[in-house]
Amino acid sequence: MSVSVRAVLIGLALLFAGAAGAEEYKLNITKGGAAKMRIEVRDFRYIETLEAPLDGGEECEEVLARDLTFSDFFNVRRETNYLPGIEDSTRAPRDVFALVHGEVRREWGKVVLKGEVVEAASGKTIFRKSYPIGSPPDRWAVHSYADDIVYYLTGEPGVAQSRIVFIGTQDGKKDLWSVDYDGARLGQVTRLANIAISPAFAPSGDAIAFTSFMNGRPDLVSVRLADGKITPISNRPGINSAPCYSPRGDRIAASLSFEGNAEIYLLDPSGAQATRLTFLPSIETAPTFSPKGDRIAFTSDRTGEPQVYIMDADGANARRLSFNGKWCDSADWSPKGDWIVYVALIDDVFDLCMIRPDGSALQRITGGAGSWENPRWAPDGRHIVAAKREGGVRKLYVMAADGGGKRALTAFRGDQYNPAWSPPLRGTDAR
Amino acid sequence: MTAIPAAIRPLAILAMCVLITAAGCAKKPKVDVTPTNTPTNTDTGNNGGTDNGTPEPTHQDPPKAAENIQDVFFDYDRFSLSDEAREVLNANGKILLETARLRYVLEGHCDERGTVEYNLALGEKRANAAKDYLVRYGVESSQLSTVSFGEERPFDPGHDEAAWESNRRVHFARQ
Repeated sequence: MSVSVRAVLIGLALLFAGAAGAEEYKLNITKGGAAKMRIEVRDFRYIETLEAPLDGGEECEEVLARDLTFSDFFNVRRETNYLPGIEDSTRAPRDVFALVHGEVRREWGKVVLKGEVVEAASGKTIFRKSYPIGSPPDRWAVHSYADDIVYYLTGEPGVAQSRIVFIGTQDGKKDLWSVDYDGARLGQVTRLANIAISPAFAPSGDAIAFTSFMNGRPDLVSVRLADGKITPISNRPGINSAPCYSPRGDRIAASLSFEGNAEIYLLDPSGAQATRLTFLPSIETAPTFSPKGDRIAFTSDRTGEPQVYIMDADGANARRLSFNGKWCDSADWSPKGDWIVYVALIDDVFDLCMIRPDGSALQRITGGAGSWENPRWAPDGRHIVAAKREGGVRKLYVMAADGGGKRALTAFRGDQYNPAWSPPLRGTDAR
Repeated sequence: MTAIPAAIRPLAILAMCVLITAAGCAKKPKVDVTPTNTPTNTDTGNNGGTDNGTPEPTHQDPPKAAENIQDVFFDYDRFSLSDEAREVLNANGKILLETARLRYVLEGHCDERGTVEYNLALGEKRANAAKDYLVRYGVESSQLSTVSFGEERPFDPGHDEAAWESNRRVHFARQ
């Protein structure tokens, strides 16, 4: 008797514990419950007095440690109280798995960063690679090293070599701006001094499609990052909006209205051919491809209020996905395919929500002051960037996919919104 | 129209409350706009729209009749025409029939709530609703074109209900 009563009490306690946990909007999207790997980033050795700060004034080690921490796989310790170099690996605490070393030196007339990762317990080198870092040193070499460490130790892609493009408003003009994922190296991408909205990266990372009013109307264009060249994609009558490239880059889903009403179409990358996918008098917009390219999530107000729907990439089998707000919108399908993030109007503000493509496991990942817009996944499927409107101004924040670790992306002055996270930009040309 | 879905009923009630409590405001655009041509002035002043390459209306010496063309306002997340909007369009339609040589761009605008992409589509719905009404009224379709600016070019840069109300409009710009 008392045993069964106790079981009931424990059951109730668990129920309440579960409810309390749900209130905190926390979920294990990123970590899968696994503990983080402990690693130590040691001071680099600089040979021939090549020690110089990176552009932005930071040390290589600081940037590397921040990249590795941001990856969310590691518990990173910065160790400075020892002699630089790889020889002294014995002094790491027992729970440290790996020691991350670096040496900047001249080799064959070029300045290189020689990265080396040592397993702390055995002292064995488990990763070694040289990166051309130049003089003064280039942040990108450090980011490359960080992504290699993430990939080597976890098998997952890192995002240190990625940039985030967004719409920045200055003097009332809306242009594309871009910034490294860590907020460094802010730069202007377009100088059309007009209205630009809804940027979307081509999967190759070398071009961005967006809606431009440069000709007085909402046309779809693309800008090549290498030289800023603008190419028209679709200037059909009405709106040409909300582009999203298919994962292979062979199609662009967009919302066009040249046949009278805003519908989802598939365009070839040149924009010449348009295949209509939706056929309703309501607004259909904001498409996002599944990573396999076989399905599309989008916004439709067919019930009288905007909600997120999923259909096959040929327009068949549309079904409603979102049910948790009077206005659900701006979906983005994770690169791993396992989650869709969107905004839901809850208590008069938009919050970010996560849901499985089958409609299960709904979670709200933001709360409190401010209204969130346009969440977009990082290519690692573990982070999100989104705009938060607070006090009339929008500002971009990056965060883990569970909503944790929010930090302002950049010091850009002026309204910033409509972010798009680049694919991994490897090599020197892509940045 | 008569049956309000349960989900938006609170909004509808809120909208009604706003209309009732601010009965004076509801008429305000008409009263203010007519003598001073406020919308076009505000447009240029707030957004510097003249130097962005878009075909902006020229405000110098417009024909008398054109000054009386008024903007049309909408409810939150709606593109249906209210009785008041129809009255304004009837008056606009009369002027447009009298001045058949004048061409207008009907600009659809939205308030800042909601997403950029949805609001671009919503602005177009508003512009089309106004144009369709005027064409049914008898205005030549070729006299009117439409463009949506979504939430990108607000008339009132504020972030309160008054600003939002002012920004949910179709603006008649001389071509």
